[in-house]
Amino acid sequence: VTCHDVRDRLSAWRDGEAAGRTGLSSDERAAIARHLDECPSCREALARFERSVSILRELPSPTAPWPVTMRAMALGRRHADEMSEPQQKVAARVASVAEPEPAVRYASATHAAPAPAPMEFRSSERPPRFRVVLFIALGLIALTLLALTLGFQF
Amino acid sequence: MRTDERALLARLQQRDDPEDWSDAWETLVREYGDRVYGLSLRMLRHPQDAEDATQEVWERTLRGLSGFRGDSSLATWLYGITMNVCLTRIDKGTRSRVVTTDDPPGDPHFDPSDGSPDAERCALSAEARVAIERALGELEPEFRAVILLRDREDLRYEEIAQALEIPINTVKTRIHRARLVLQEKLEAFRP
Repeated sequence: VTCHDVRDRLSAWRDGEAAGRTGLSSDERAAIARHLDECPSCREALARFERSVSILRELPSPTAPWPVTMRAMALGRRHADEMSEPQQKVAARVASVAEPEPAVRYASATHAAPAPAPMEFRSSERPPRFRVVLFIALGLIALTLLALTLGFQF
Repeated sequence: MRTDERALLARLQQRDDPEDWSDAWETLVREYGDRVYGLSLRMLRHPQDAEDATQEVWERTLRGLSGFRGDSSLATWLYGITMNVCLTRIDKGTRSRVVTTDDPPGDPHFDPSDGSPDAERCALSAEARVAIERALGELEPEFRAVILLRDREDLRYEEIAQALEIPINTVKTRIHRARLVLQEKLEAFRP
């Protein structure tokens, strides 16, 4: 390889050495390494590359101004609020249904409100199963009374 | 992608726990906020433009999170968005004080790290820093982008190609040319 070939590939060679990958074939790498061993001028070119890289790395890192960071954080908070909104709406819908299943109440409560106290049903909060049994019992009583009334008539 | 990055991404892509999502977002901003701003500042070379660009980067990040499949590292993806925002702003040329080789930096004392705690620990003098920043600013934006990603953010060529969506050979050529230009300008600051 010539000095021209080496200089053209010097940057990739240098970065490959540093990062463990050259993007050059192993033959090319070996040829460049041999050339560098023998050529002081190309070694000096490599040293100049190294210096410019190290100078760039030495530059201090700017710090983002506080309001910039706060704005980015606020953006996230707004997004998180929007994420929880549909869940709050579901919770509100569930709450607006007269008497939800206990399981539904728990599911919505985990997202929208603190965990509920152990289930204690007030008269207006009794679960549907209780109401169905009550309804059937009242129906049976009504039917019995009807049958008795009709029986007396005939 | 590193394990901690993968875990962070998973938290940012779930929608079941807004509180955890919010914590993950704050971690992301704390982790990468300075670097996104620093890259924007060195690309756009004006604090107000860099602030606007940084906000746009976070907005785009938020919009893009659900579609990001983790093909690259989170950092590579974020830097890609950052460079895309900056290069678009430079192309538009209206909102940023664009610096090209034809239009040298307007502020001869531009120093992105001025006042940062890092600057006080830096071995380079303030004068040298200004001169180096000026040399960086005189690079064409596409060259500045690759050299910042390579020599400041330590991305590999493949990662730069991914971030900027350009062929890897273009990355190699741009890095090489950018270094040749910088090398000439930085000779005065030999350690």
